[in-house]
Amino acid sequence: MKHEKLIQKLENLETPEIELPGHKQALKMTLLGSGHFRERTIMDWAKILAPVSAAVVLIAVVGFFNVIQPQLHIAQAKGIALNDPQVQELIEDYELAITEVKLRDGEAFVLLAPELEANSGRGIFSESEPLGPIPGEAGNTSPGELVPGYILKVDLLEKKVSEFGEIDEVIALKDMNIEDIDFAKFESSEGAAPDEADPE
Amino acid sequence: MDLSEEKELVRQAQKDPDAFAELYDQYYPKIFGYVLRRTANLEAAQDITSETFLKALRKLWQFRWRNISFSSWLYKIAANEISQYFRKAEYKKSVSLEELQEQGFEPISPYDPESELIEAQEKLKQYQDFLEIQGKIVRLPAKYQEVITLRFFEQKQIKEIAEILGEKEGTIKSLLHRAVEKLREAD
Repeated sequence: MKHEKLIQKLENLETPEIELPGHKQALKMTLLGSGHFRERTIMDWAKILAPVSAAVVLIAVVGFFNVIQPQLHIAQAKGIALNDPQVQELIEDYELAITEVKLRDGEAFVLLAPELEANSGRGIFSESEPLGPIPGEAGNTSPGELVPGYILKVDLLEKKVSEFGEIDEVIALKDMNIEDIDFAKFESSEGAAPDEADPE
Repeated sequence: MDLSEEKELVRQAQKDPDAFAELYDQYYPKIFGYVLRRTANLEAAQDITSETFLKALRKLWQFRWRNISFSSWLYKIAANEISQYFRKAEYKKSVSLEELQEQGFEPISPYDPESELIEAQEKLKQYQDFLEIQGKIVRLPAKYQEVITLRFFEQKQIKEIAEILGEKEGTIKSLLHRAVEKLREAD
């Protein structure tokens, strides 16, 4: 048989058009009676909630690490500084207060300054004799010398004030170049030998 | 139903059982008929048609009108099931109605499948010319069987056959020509 004749035969061939109405109906009812459409709704919600939940978790994590955790560290640094007896003495003697705390590279920097003079760009003259040498340093101040403020470096892991530096001009920590500060070791009285400690 | 109406119906059928029922009513005769003409076996046609619609229902939420029409998508599922039927000595009847009922799928109205089958088999025997040609077609390679039946028994255009089989139109034309040649040699 030639190619074209076979094509003609195929095109004219009567093919069976048989239906099984019972099977058609039974299958339909069975498919519709399945839990598919209910399951799909639950899946719809899962598809919506999954990215929303993921976004909420992401925002919470980012928020925690960028907002909440820094705030916790700042509060912790303040607490460590205020609990240090030497810092308390400085605050009392020079009428200083913690005016700012800054976190940088895992370290906390606490600015001690006269509360009213903070950010004014001016220092104050000490009106009285300095009470004694600054902790860890031989006395190097004299009456009338400018004592504007201090920057304390707080070790959050050791939970102590580790270093301190004097500043000539009280400005906001964000405007200050901390690298230019000459930090000295801060020796708390807690670390003093028993015979050097204040008998009271 | 025009294309936009069908698109809307398919979209609704993804969530609405009534819309799915309408789609099913429209396509059951076509799919069952296609499977029957490929297999010439009524029992197999029942099982394969059931499996096709079950898979279609499960995957309907994934269907998107992008590269393929809904009709071609459905035929594609059926064609894959038919291939499985011919490949395996015993076709996996995981979705015969009896097994669906065992899995908790309950038909609302029972029917007598045996009587219906017997009656249908008697009707099928009347198509002797068809059965003769079909007997030769099933001895051809699977791809040739597919293109011949889709083109001549289902009256599909080349474009649609290409969609169903996932081939280029040029490939389909070439396959069709070679398939007819093979069938002619077998005649």
